[in-house]
Amino acid sequence: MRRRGGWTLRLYRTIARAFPEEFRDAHGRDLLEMADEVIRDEVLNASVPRRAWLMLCLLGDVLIRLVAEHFSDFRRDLRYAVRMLLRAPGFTVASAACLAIGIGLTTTMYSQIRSTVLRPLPGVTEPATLIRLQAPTPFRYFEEIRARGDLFSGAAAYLAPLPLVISQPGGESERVWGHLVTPEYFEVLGATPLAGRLFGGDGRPAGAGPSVVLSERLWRRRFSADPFLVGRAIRLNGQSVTVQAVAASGFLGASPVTAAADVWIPTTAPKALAPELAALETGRGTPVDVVGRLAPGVTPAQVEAALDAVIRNAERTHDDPSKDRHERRVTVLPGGRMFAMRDADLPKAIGFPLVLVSLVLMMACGNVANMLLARSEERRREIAVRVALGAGTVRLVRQLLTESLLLASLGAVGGLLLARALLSAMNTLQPLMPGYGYFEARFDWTALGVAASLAVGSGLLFGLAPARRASRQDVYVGLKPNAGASPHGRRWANLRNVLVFQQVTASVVLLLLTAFVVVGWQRSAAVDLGFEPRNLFLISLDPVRDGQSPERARAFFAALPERLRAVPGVTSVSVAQSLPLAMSNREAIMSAKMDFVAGDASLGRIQVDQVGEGFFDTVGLPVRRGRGFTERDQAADARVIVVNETMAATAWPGLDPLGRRVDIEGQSWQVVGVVGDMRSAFPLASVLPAAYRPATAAGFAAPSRHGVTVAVRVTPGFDGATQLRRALDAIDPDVTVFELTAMSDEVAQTQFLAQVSTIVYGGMGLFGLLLASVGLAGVTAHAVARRTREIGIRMALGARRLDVLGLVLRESGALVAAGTAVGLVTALALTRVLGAMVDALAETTHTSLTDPLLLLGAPGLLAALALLACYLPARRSTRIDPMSALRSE
Amino acid sequence: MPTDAQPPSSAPGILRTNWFYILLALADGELHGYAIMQDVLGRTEGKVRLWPATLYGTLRRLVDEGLIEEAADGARTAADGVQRRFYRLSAQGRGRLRDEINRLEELLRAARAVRDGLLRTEVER
Repeated sequence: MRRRGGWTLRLYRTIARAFPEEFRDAHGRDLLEMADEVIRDEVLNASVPRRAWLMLCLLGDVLIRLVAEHFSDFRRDLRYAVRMLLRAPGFTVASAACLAIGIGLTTTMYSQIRSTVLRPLPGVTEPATLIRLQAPTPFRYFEEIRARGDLFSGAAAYLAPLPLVISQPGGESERVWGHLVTPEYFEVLGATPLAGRLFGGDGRPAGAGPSVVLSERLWRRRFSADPFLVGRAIRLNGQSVTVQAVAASGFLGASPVTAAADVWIPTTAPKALAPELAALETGRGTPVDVVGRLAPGVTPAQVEAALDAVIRNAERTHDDPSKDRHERRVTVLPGGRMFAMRDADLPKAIGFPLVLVSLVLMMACGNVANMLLARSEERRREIAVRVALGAGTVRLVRQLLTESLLLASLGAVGGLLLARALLSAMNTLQPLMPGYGYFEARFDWTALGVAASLAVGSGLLFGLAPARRASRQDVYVGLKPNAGASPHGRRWANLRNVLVFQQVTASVVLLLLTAFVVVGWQRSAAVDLGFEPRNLFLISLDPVRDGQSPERARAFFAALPERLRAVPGVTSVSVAQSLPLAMSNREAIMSAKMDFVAGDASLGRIQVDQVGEGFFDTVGLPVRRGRGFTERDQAADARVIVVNETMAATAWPGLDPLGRRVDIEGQSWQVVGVVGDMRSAFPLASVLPAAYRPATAAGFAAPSRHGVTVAVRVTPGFDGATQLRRALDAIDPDVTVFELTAMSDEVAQTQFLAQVSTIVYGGMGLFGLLLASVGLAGVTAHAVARRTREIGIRMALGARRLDVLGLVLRESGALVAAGTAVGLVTALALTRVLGAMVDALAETTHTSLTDPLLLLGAPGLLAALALLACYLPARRSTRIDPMSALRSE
Repeated sequence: MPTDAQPPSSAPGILRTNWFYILLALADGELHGYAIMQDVLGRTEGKVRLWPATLYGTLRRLVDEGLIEEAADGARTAADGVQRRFYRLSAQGRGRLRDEINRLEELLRAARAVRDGLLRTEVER
């Protein structure tokens, strides 16, 4: 017959088995005996409800005590661990710092990647079903895309970035950026308002007259979070518009990184509100971005195929000049992320930085593992003593685990602080982005979690080594004062050698990769920009968006150069309706970033800028052949063009470019001059083929998104910031000066960014170098300690100091040589692989990759440092006194 | 009992209820765990029950604190024929118990004085 109450006792026994070893040894038997008695004598004799109550109490008691006992053991282990770590401050600080840097850098890099690329679009619903078209599509084709209800549950088009000017009577005008959106935009994205009502799909404004939606951050900053703003009128581009809604916090539109929006204007708004509205449907139609929400069951590939046919069809119907192109028209990208990119392209964008931080993390973990192993050698006696005193393996393991965990936690906390500091430093770079770009690196807990658990994992793995040994070793051997070379000791030494080899290899790879990039950047960051940035001022104006009539704007710009030239100290003035990339550094940074991220999508296009009479002279760009633009070109809308040297060399290699014709947007232009190339001070921005068209009167009435830039060359020592502002105020007080910058300041700012990157990458390389050296020094020191006796004997037998030194260095030297060789090959291969994926990287490294100075210098530097790190402890071997070494046996 | 040889109790202050009852139970002589539990049950008329895990956890703490110790001959056969571990008060534990009893006595004396006062005022009314 089965004993009644047997299951309670069985459960009780199971729980009791989980008590800490010491408790079990001392009281386990008594505890079970007593529980058995309580069940037998009381529980089974009680009434049913009381029996249940007693059983509950019995089980509750053992469970609560179980937790309490473990906790108290843990506290004891922790106290002991703190004491042990405090007793070896050098080891503690070094390994915690290694872990902190490894974890911190990895977290920083991943956080940055996640917040600028991978993070779901803020403020939208179900980002996974959003898609977007990679290339902008002519607005007049959008109707046909929207009509495909079988593909989309909704599609919207928007024009971005859209420059706007917010003003208020008596207040200061300010340039802000927005999106010009089809009415269904918010519905497709699933955006919600903070206040008011977003545009509906019907396209009807909420009130009379034009209405707009504002971003939460603009509402907060410009309107001090005015709770009554919705429904009221504000002045936008000099016109009165009603604020229909404020979007939810964080929502910055469908493409926040490349074009964050603070104002949304519907395409149904009156044409006079923005020049872009009027241009939307004229000619070929402005290219617009298209976002859509996939219909249920439809795949992006199906959309791609179907829309390709739609666009081809539309091109034929409209007799589009590009109707005979063969390439694919439509590429569908996931639309729900911060930066739209194909999943297949993700490795291109994030591969290189991830490889770098992985190397750093790998080295940090390797180093800590090595230090822990070295420490385990030192602790053999301590452990042996504890085993001799009766400490069980479980107890030892727990103790060592606690120590490793404590160490790893120190590293994780340090990493957290470091990552936070680095990220906030990164965020101070936001002002270097154009106004419509959005960059915010947010701390990512997942990244910290992954990096920290890797570090903790390696810490645990190697932190337990002493316990694993203790369970195998002969206690007596461990207790001997000079517990030297045991067979196990040799095995651990081999493991440490493997770790050092891994570290030297990783360090060479890291050093070379960072050196390739840093040196490549330094070289591509042109010292000679091709023009003269000193004594050059750029003034950004936009009278049309500032609310003035096109006629007045035209008259203003017609008179401006003459009036400014009259200011004493001004030597030359010219206007530009768009600015070459190299002169607009923030644009260059943005475009370089995009190139870097988007691969080859934006390379190989021609940059066309509209510049006025005398522009090349004013900015100091030399005219190599032919001529620059004259007043007549500008007045007559002449179809003449000036190209840069790169374009001349690309389009007509070995031929005379003058007099040749170029087709741009369906019109034919004649080349009248060749000017030098301009280079950006930003390293990754490449020199593109560029062409210049003359500025036109019409351009002043409908300016580009940057408004009109006035370039002013002055005599040295001229205080441009105040004098030019005063002069412009005298010419027309109603025209707002949006920016007035000294070109040399802009260049310095850009170079600063490059310097920051150099420091970051260079710092990573040096950190790797340091880690590898520390690891080598530790291994050599240990090898010397291990072989004290052997060295003593050799010296007693007449070996010279130099022989002994060679003996010790040979082992480390072999590790360094092998690691360096493997590292060199890996680094070269890796750079080529990554370069094949990322054009910008290939472009940066293509000269540095074959640089003998780097290829020999970097490993040489590492080898020299490594040998020095070996030499210092190895020297100790020569000071060993043979007598005392032998006596200690 | 040589009272002048008593060491001063190490940690003055209030003894936890569980500790106090266990020390009380051991004041009369060596006992094993189950007997301690029953002693406490009887002494408190069933109001305080030391469940097995709590009892042994507390015994362990008391040994660590030096208030009780295992009987010199370790585990031995109890009256019911089962092998059991016996415990007894240490000199230090004896001192702590005495101090605690004195403290409680003083407390009780003070409380009684107040109660008598209260009774008197009620009678006078």
